[in-house]
Amino acid sequence: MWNLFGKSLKSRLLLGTSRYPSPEVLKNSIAFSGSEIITVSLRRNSGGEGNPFWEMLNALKVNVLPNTAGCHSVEEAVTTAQMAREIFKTNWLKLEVIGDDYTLRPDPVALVEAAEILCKDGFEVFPYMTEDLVLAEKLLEAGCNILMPWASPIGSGQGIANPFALKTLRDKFPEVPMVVDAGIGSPSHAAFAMELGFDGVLLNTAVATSIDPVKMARAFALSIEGGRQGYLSGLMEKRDFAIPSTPVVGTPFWHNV
Amino acid sequence: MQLSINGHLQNLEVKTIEELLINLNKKPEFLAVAVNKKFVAKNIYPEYQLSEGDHVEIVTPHPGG
Repeated sequence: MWNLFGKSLKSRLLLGTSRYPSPEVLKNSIAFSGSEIITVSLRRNSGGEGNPFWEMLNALKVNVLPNTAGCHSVEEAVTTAQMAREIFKTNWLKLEVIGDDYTLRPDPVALVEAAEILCKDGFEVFPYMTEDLVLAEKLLEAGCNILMPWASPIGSGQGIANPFALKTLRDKFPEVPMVVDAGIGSPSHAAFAMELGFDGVLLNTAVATSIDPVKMARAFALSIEGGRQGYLSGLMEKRDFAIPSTPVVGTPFWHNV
Repeated sequence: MQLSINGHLQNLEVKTIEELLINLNKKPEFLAVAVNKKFVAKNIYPEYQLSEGDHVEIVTPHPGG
């Protein structure tokens, strides 16, 4: 169990809801992942009445984390956040301000500015950020109580591109909740993030675009739990030489030339 | 009055956001609105006066990552 802004959570997997082959697969993937925090977005309304997607998520009784995906400026992000708070009735917000369309790399300057405005307005801002240490410091000063550094670009499946920087970030702010968000491609990537001491992992594409999303959702849940337990157990130090695990003393034929 | 609704120009005989949503047959329950990139809260839809050329964004919950 872990606690996040007053919510007691069993799962450390935060799951995105996009790109699934069908609503039914999405629903089952959420259920089998055990995830209790689900990301959602806002897009232009094109239909008339009702919203089957939102009605389905409401029925699942999960916590929703609205994003500002696609926003490229402070103004767009702040307005999208305000619209999200009204519709989803939560002050949680995954803040995305994109600076580069090719890599979907966040704009650090706009991110801090938007975070400051939104934190002052009562939002609990989950900033999607690079693993930059100074940026982390600025976001905390802006009022963020959680950080979400990327593993690698969104949807790339590259895994953790810079483990040294992520580890440095984790060690620098041990008390700050941190979730690795974006770029996770396989359960082993997620386990690695957890072994580094992160509090959770947010992913979407790796589950949604797999051949069997429901099974993959479960695989991620298990790997995240495994990585967490590994971290808590204390991982052994790496060595540059071999040490036999079976005792040498008493080895048959030892020194029996 | 000519308005840009979700990026499409439309000529509509409406004065307020409330009238606009009724005209477009949209239920406010599942929507949020911004005019000229500024958020407009639901409780002021009846009194919010639209102006010629306003850019109105009407958004709804959608899957996201």
